[in-house]
Amino acid sequence: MIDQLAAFAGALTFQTLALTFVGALVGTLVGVLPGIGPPATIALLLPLTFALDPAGAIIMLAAIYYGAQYGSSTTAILINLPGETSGVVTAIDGHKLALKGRAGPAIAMAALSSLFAGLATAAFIGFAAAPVARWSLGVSPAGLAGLIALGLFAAAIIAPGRPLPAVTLMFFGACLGLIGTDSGGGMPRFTLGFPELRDGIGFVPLIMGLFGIAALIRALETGSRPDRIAPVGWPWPTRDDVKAGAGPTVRGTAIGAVLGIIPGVTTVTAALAARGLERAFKTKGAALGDGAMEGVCAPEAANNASAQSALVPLLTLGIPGNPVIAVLAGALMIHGIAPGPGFIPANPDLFAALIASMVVGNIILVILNLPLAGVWAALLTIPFRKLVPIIVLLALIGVHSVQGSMFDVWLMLVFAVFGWLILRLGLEPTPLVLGFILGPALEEYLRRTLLLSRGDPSVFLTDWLSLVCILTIVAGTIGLVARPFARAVRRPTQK
Amino acid sequence: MERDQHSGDGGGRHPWARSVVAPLVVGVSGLGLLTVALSQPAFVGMRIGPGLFAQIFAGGVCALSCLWAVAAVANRGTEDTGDLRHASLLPGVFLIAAVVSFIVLRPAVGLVLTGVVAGVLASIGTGDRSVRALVVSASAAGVVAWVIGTLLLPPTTPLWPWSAHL
Repeated sequence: MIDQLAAFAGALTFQTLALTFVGALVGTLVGVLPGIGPPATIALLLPLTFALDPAGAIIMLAAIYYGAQYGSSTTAILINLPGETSGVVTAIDGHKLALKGRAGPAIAMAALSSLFAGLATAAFIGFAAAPVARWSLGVSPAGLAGLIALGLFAAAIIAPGRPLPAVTLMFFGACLGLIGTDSGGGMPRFTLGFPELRDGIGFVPLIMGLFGIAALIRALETGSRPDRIAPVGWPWPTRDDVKAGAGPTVRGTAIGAVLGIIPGVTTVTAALAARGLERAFKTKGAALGDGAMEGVCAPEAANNASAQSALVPLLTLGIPGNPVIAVLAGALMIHGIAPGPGFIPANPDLFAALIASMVVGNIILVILNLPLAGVWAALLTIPFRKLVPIIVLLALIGVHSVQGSMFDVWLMLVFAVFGWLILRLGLEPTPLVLGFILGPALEEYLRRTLLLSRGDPSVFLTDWLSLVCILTIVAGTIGLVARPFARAVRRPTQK
Repeated sequence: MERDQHSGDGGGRHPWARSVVAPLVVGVSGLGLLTVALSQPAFVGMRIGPGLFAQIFAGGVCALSCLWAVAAVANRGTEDTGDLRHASLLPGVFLIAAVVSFIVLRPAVGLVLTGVVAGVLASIGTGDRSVRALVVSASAAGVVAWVIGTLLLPPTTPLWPWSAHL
């Protein structure tokens, strides 16, 4: 343990600190300003990280993600308008507290709960991820294929929206991921005669199109502005606030850290679960929903804990569970590092730097968010739409600069139109991105399994891990299919 | 909230018609992918060929889209089908036009003027109509393009029309 602590401390270089600060600052801005969420921001900033080493890139991008969770609570509490979806749950009680003139203590408790959750989860990842990573090195290709399939299935059924469209889009994303040269025989696949597609579809144009331009269009179509900003006042909580928030913070951290590991669980799901758990406990002051401090602390701790623990399946098994983690996975791959089994043992310095940056990042975020809450809220007076032309231009230059290829901009255009269409149809593009990343990995492990078993598919049933994954998927599918029938049978009986 | 208001509004006389738009779009795309995948061998001798997983995944898209369409019809259009007809198309059209302008103009007039045009189009897409607002957006976009082109991009990047033709 002392060795690990020394490694984490040694990873705290000036560059790590500077990049963590920049990421935390940008993340807070993103969390404060409604309209552009962490996936789009990380996608837009991806080309800027090409000048950094892989550790610097992942540290900055991860800090944007958890920084957005902090920033979101400020505007959720002050004006009932979270910049990031996870703040929706905090807004229920947080804004009521602001209306009672207690915006300052609410923001402070939100920041302190997030800090506790961030530090506890960083410690959890630091000490738990390495053993899991060592275990994953011994997993057979059949087991890994099963885990990836289970991860995709879980992401499809737990994520917001309907499971069937999500699974369909995952398959579609997997097809897009197969575009390029076949790794087995070197033959071009799905390239339609375009030589530019022989290396596959670039991750940057895909993500910029789906999460950048399409998300911007959607934000403009559905955008709204606040009318009035509540005064922040004295930001320090009373002793009663701290007492009321302590238990919910610990419970929120635990539930967020556990749920974050499950693919498909978003920060808002974790926040909702934590708030749901608090219903089982008695509040110290106002009731939950009427401005209870418990209703601020539990979801804030949960969303920050889940944002960080979502890195565990990515770093140990190579399974990104949500869109932001998928973008982070893409960023690592662009930098020539494949997250998955073997990642932590092969990159101990990068892992140590990431954990150390999480600890420092959470402290920086409290410093940024507590005294400057009023400043962040004032930023909302800048209309989001005034920033759009610059964001679009940055996206265009960013995509073009990756390879100096106008073909990439064409690809971004195609995915922007497709993303806009599916958003207007009420669908989420996230499963498509997960399929795009995990589809080729699934193919690779399936191919290796069949190669080792000389084409015998029964190996998927004799490998225990693969069998457990298959049975779980089958049970889940039966449950999903049977549910509407059970409902239909119950309805006439009730009548 | 907006989506809730629109969902399940029936879409006129055929409430299921709007529900099948999404599976139809994805299914047709999947059918295109399956057609291409079938042109490649699933097996080369005893080895797995480039077509096997492509056919499985593309076939999965088609099969699941059909299932999705059937489920949508069975639910009689009560599913959330987005706001295909209700939200304004203008932001999307102008932001897409900004991307197209970059593709068309960048090789001909260089980065700065392309940035100006893309900035103006994106600004119109956000709802700006006044000349003052458009001039501000154009100037800001031009300056950003010039700064990035000068400081961050390779020196060979053409910034102006005269350097674009060199």
